[in-house]
Amino acid sequence: MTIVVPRHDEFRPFGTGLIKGLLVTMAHFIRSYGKRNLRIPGKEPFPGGRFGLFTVQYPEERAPVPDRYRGLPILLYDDATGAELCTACMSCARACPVGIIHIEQGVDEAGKKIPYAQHFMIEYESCLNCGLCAEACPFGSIVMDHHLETARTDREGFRMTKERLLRPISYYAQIAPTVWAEIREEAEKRLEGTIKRRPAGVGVVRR
Amino acid sequence: MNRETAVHVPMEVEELETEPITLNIGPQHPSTHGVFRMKVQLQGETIVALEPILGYLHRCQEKLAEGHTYLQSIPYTDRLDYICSMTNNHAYVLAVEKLAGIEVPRRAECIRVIMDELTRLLNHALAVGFLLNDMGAWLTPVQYGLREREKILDLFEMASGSRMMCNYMRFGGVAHDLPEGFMPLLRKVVAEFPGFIDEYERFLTTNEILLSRCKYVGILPPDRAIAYGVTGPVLRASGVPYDVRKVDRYSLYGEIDFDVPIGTVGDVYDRYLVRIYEMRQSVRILEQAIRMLEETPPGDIQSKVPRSLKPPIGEAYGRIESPKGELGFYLVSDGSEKPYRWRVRAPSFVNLTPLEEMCRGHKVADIVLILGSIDITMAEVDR
Repeated sequence: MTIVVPRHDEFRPFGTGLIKGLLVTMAHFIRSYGKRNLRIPGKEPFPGGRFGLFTVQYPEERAPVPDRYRGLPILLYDDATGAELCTACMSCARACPVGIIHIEQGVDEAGKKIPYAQHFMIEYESCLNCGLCAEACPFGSIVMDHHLETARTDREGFRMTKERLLRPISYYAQIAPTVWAEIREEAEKRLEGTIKRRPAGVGVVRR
Repeated sequence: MNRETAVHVPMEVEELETEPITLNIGPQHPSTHGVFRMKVQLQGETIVALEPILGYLHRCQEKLAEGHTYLQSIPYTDRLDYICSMTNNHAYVLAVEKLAGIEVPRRAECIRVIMDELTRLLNHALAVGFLLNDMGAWLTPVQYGLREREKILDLFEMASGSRMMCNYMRFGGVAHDLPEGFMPLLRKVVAEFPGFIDEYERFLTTNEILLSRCKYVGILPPDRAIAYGVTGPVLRASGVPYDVRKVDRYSLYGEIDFDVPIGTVGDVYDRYLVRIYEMRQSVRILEQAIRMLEETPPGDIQSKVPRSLKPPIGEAYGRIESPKGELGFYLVSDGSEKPYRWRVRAPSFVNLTPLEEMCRGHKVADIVLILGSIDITMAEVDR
């Protein structure tokens, strides 16, 4: 079915449109003092209604970020053992649309490949924040951080090596509890297998 | 301008003919909605000819996609029309699903319809706001549109993880299920949106400045609109009831009851009104889609699709009614995991083609207004 929009052709405003418009803006102006709707942690994700002050005074106040938020990718390691979850399976490197994930698999003394990333580097400046790497990772190792402020003055600082990418699992479980709960079981089961397949002392974060 | 000759024109000359001048509007101009250049021939203040010059934002997207797998192209579709990333995702996954013959679970279809209509709401709220911005009502009307958009972007962020570059749809469904707390907020936004549209209409529809600036400006007759291949609100404002949602009945639109608003004259005012009425219809669709989603039992949101998708040799064209018009993806598969050809039928680009015809005969100040009423995104025009 179609409806024809009315064109108000016979309508003669005689200046009422101006007054009506001013009344709308005045109502908003006055009511913004009465109702302060701020998107700050602990409050509603966004304010209801059409009136009030909607802005967030950014550096001082921050709007809460949902669990699913996709910042830049980070790597996880286990809190208790310090073992890295990454096994250098290259799933994320293949999934990345811009090809900014570079991994070099580690080898033991005999030259046999072991499930451990010797080098892991992400070029942060080219990241699309698409989250395809985190979706592809079968080990729950690469996840999306919630960190927002990534501006730098030097380009070299964006070449994130493994040491700078690693975060403990407890950090991610705290910022994104629901997302971690989804992948946790699989990740912990696979981590046990990974630790068994690695030579002792390899792929362990020293603090 | 040669002022001296204008001064010395004898009084008995009835029609003053000034020397035509060429005016360059853009590429960097706040009212061109991106990087867009118009070479305008002016006779006094009247437009004689207009030549749009495109390509300043060309990023080789179609060729880039030939080097990516089908899945890797989804984040790139977000960046076509960055205001409506959800509908871009939907059009692309629809084309791939057609190519590979993938079924979509009903729950995912419900979520897709909800996301599409939310995108339409936010796009039209912004389009109307920026139309007023182009008219000279600096920033006040668009602030109300931006405020409503913010609420919808919060919903997108909750569901997909990003406000604008959503990357939410996947082949055979959507990436994640709706998070806890999404539905109450969605219901709130949908319940409050008609109030916003009423306020907007009270504010603008019968405002004399808007009426005098918009009425009978930039008329596009229906036969010319069809000849140019224009789609979306611009075509419907010219009085052609063509809506891909009604024609193709893709996703769940066959089961949903909604009307198609059409205009009668095809001027800027009709385009404004059609967008306002489409927002009301979108709210209606959203209410039905929410009911459908609640009736659907929780379950799969994505059907089983192999990680390295290799569609059979062939071609497919998937199209949807994006807020700006008919958005289509034409894909040719050679049986490998990368497409042989990846082509976008961008509504912004096609709707931009009759710009000269709409502008000719009007004053120079109306160019920006007519351009704003087409509602283009240059990222989609140039790709």
